[in-house]
Amino acid sequence: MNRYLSFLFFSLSLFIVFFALLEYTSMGEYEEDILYLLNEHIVMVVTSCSFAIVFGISFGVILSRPILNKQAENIMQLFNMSVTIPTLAILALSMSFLGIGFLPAVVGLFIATLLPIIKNTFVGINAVSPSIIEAAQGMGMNSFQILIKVEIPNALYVIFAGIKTAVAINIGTAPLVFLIGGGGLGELIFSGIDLDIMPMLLAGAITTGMTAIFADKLVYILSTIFISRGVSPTED
Amino acid sequence: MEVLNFYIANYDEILYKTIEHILLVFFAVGFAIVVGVSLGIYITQHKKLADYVLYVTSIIITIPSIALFGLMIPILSLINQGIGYLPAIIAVFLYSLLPIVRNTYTAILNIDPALKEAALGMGMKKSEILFKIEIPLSIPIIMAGVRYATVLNIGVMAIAAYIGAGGLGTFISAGITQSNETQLIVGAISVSILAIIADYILLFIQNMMTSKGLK
Amino acid sequence: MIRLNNLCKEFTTKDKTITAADNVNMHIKEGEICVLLGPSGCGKTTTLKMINKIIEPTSGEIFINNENVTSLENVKLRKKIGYVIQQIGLFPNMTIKENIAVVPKLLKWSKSEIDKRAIELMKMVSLDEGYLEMYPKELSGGQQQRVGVARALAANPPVMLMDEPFGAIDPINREIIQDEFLKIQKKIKKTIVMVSHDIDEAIKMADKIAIFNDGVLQQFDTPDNILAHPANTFVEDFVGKDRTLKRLNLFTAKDAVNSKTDIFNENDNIENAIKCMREKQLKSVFVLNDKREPTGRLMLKELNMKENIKGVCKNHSLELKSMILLSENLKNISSKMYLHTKSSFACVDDKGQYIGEISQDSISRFLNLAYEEAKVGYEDE
Repeated sequence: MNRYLSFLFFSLSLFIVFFALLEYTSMGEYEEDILYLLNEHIVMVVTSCSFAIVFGISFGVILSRPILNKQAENIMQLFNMSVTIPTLAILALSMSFLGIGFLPAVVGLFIATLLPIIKNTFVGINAVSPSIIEAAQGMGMNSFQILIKVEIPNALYVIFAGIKTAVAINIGTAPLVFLIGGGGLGELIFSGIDLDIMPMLLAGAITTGMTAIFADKLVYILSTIFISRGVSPTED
Repeated sequence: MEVLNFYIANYDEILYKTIEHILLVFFAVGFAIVVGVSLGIYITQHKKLADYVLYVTSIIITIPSIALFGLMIPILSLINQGIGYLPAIIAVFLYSLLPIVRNTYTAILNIDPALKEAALGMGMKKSEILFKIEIPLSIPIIMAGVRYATVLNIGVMAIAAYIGAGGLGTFISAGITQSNETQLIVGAISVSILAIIADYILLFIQNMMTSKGLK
Repeated sequence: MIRLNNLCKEFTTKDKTITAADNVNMHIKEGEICVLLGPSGCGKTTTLKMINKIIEPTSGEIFINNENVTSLENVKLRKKIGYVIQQIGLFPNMTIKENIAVVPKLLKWSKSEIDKRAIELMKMVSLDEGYLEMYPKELSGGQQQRVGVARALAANPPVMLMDEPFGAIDPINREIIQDEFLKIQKKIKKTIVMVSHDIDEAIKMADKIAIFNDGVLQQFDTPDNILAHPANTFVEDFVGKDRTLKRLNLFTAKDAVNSKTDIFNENDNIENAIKCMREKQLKSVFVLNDKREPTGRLMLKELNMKENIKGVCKNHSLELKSMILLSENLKNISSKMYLHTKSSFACVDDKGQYIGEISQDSISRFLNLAYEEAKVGYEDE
């Protein structure tokens, strides 16, 4: 209960500060733009994140299946390498393949967000204690039941850590999609830098920053809802 | 291939920008190691401060890099350093704080209390325990934080090209503005390779610094 | 109830073939606890895990309740067998109640049936109902192990397989849980196959012990027979050089008491008593009161040294330092013999009345009598 209340309190204060800034500072000049771009921004983020979570967890589960056991180490190496690739590079490569606009932006974000989720799902499921799986087999559960009732719930802590990282990367990279024609709050920031207009720059930067912080807390709260109390390592 | 040709034709500029990139990240992260490790050690002695410090640094790292740059520009414009390498280094420094501080803090706290007790029993002073036992045992975890910060910030520094900091990101930005796909790809690949190599080198150093007994 | 026919398991790695279980043949009767015993790598765990096909047999057949289950679908088979593993294996993501409810849910029991069963099981394993809503990590090791047992019993399977179920618990709690488990078994009478590497645990828990070495079944018999008649040197070494002392644990005074002893009454004439003792060459005789309670003993050696003895037995009898109840364990009695430096005691029932004499001699005789009886052998249909 405590956590949810503090989250609500936090979000409320964030909103109040945001709207106060719009009302009382020169940021207000750009109110229309801010709200429009914020909307665009959120659509992109939510779309790419949702796809990334669905595909990421699915791929992660598939990769963790015993059939692929021998390739497991190689796969891990590949992932460890791919998460080091700078997100700007990923966007740039997306643009070179898909051109400019909304689609390459979402695809680029999707790929950048995908990798930590696949990796953590893979690691998390492999880390589930073999004795629990043996107990489940011994009870007569089939592989699917074991996956759904035992493996995934017990891997959720690690999976959500991956999701949290992925969402952070997504939000951090989202402003950059402006550079490849994707729109969003980046427009205010980059234009503000180029044209040397401080209020515009700040409008973009502050809104982006606040969105990022809010999203981070949101994912955290969601994780506490989904992860069974018996699995999370910290006490309530 | 065009890309290969570009590399060959402009290798001097690419090399220059690479070194520029490396130096920028090196100084920022290096400074963050000094401050971060000290801060991490300090807050193990002052638990109340610890929560606050960790909270603030974690919020900093949540802010997208371009937004952080954006926030710095007005402030640093006052000393006429709004654009250039200074905001980039400061932002990278701030980003590196969380991984390094948190890893230092966690590593030292996770040391088996029995070891400290044994050391005290042998007559070691607190500072001796810190330098001879606690820090050596924490190095693997601290290095993991340094590694994470470095790889992350090689990417951040690429974005810093947009605020005039230089580095390999300039190829990407130029590539986009000039619609020069080759240059764009060269920039993207170079930064990626730099990140991957840096990761491996730091992993190697991390393993070297981990005493045999811990592996 | 459970029959293993020529069960074999071979593991092939690169160029070597390891026979983990070599032609195991066993018949375990319904309601019995059979302990598979032996050193590490002897094949006991492999054999256990072949019964519920966690390990697939290379060859051989398994019959449960006269049904050939060797080719039965794994998932179907396992729902009928309770399985308790050494590491306990409670699912951390589920509450205790959800853990217990797993198999009943798979078998589509109704919610009310499951709730009722959960409470019933908690009572059976002596755990407070309040634990049902807690998570495994909030319970101690001993409590978790009990939940593990409850979970295996949830769907009331006729057969239970247990792989070193008490191994992960500290020795003090282990004894308590073993005792409680035996009490539970008295009520539910499941057919249980249990793996253990601890000879004392096997002797305590088993109706039958199957000793393995190098994948081969060495001996399959009751605990006492294995102690009294080890089939070969391996079994002899394994049960230990103190095996006869171990046998003492299995019996009570009731088994070894000699009830055909001479006795005197307190008020019998002492001179007649001494005469009787000399004639029959009795070293010591107990003296009883009118209520047939022992009050002392006459020792011939001591009486021979006195002169001019007159009066009744009461006046000359020596005080009894200790008496033994019928239910007392033979090992404890032997211990008392050393404690009081006496080789014989009076044995009484719970009303305090004299039943007979329990002595080193009578115990020896009893152990050897069991030796004689055992020579008939056990049945193996």
